Amino acid sequence: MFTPAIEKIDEEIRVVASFSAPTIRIHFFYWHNRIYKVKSTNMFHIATDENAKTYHFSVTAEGNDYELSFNPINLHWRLIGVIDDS
Amino acid sequence: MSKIILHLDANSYFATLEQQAYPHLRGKPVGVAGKGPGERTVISGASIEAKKLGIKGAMSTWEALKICPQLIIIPANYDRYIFTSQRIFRLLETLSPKVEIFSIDEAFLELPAQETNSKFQTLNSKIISDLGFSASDFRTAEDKAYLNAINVALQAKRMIRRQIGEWVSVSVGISYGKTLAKFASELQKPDGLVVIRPGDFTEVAKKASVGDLCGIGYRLTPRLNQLGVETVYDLGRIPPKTLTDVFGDSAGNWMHRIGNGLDDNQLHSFHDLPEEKSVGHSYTLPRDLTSIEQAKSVLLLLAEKVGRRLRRKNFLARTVSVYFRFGEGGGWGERATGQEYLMDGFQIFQAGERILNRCPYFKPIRFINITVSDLAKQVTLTAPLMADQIHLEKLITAVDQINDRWGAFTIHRGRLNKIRERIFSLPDGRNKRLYSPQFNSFSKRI
Repeated sequence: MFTPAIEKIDEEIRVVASFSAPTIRIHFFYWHNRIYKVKSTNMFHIATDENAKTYHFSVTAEGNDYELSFNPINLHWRLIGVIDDS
Repeated sequence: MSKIILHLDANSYFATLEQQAYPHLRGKPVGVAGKGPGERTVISGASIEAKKLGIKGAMSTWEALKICPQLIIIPANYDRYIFTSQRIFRLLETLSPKVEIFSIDEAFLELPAQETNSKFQTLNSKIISDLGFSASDFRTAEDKAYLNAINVALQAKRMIRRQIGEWVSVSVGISYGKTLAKFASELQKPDGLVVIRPGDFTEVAKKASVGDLCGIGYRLTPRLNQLGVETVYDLGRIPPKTLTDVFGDSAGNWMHRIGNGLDDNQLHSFHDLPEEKSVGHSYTLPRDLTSIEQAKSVLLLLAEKVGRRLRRKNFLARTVSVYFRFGEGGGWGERATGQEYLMDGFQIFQAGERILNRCPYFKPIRFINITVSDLAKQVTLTAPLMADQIHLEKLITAVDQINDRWGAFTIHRGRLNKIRERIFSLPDGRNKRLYSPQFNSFSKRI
């Protein structure tokens, strides 16, 4: 038995991002009434599930690492998880 | 000499990408494991730091945590690894028109040996001395072609760091053949760059253990040792007939050639690969299935996925194969070829179910696979004439369009309702557990 170091959150969030094709830059996200300023986007990938695509961003904000996803069909953002390296 | 081969191997690929994504993990021992907590799982990738502490791939998580209690375990994110590999391979294609994908984190590049453009002049003497050479080692046109290859390798490293991430490094081996280029890349990790030119072979071969060659694994090594072969150089001294007598014509001849520094395997660019010959899905279950009905439910789900992939590629298939591996060991499988070409998941399932019903015994099942083969392109077959066939095709097309728009299995067969909540936890080579939007599949079991 082990506990993965990613704490799953999977909640819808609000995000301030700029879209300038082909890049998407995330500036802030709002989660639980708190603003998280994104310091860096560390990695990006597209997850394809039988043709339905979601865009995943690994970001560092306020001292923690987070994974956010963006669904280009319904334009919703989700906070997928936060790294817990303790 | 006709070509120069570069072998690029991304260092500790899975774990390094996780460290790139999550900077808090950098410099720490990280193990990437396939599944969620409480499930049977092994370490599929370890970070450089974890490897130094004795963690190896394919080690069980239990064993790994025993060796290294501070090991941070991250669930595998195959979407991330596949997507990043594709990006890296695309970058490499800008450096050479001939790229062979060797695995998810390895590729070969071929450079024409006569390409001795002026790039090599930009290499400074420090880089050359870091590689164990001096400027005077690169005098002939052939040598200068190697300087050019070194430049390409450095460019590849820079591009990967800049465009994929600063934490991602590759080891590069440069030689005149694939086996030796791969061997060279293994000599210096991480972030290595090793060159083996034809004139360097004898010296390298005398130091290299025969088991270090790609193609000579842990089974062949002791057999070669029994013949008195310890190094690659020794391999070249064994009479070819001895090698072919012991290992067969193909392997024996290859061993004799590589032992003498003859390495002429061709690169196979993925652009030249033939179209696929089969489409399949398999699943290792978190717990053994103890009833035939459970097995059929999983088989239906896998068959639906196979059907969707077939239709996306415009294929139909005539042969269906099913294979089960049992929890206690061993397995059973059969194949059947029908008259009709199939592309509907349910029809594929029905063919698989008929095979399943022929299984002479039932034991708890650990692994299920369904594969279709004998493929034909839809355009080469006669269009359906009967109303029910036309209706079925239209129905499937409409369902595919909806599912493509709104997500897989938005519309699905009623029979799948029973296992709908588990759909997202069935990985097709990718771990969906962390990313399923609606279900916490950590708590689900088939």
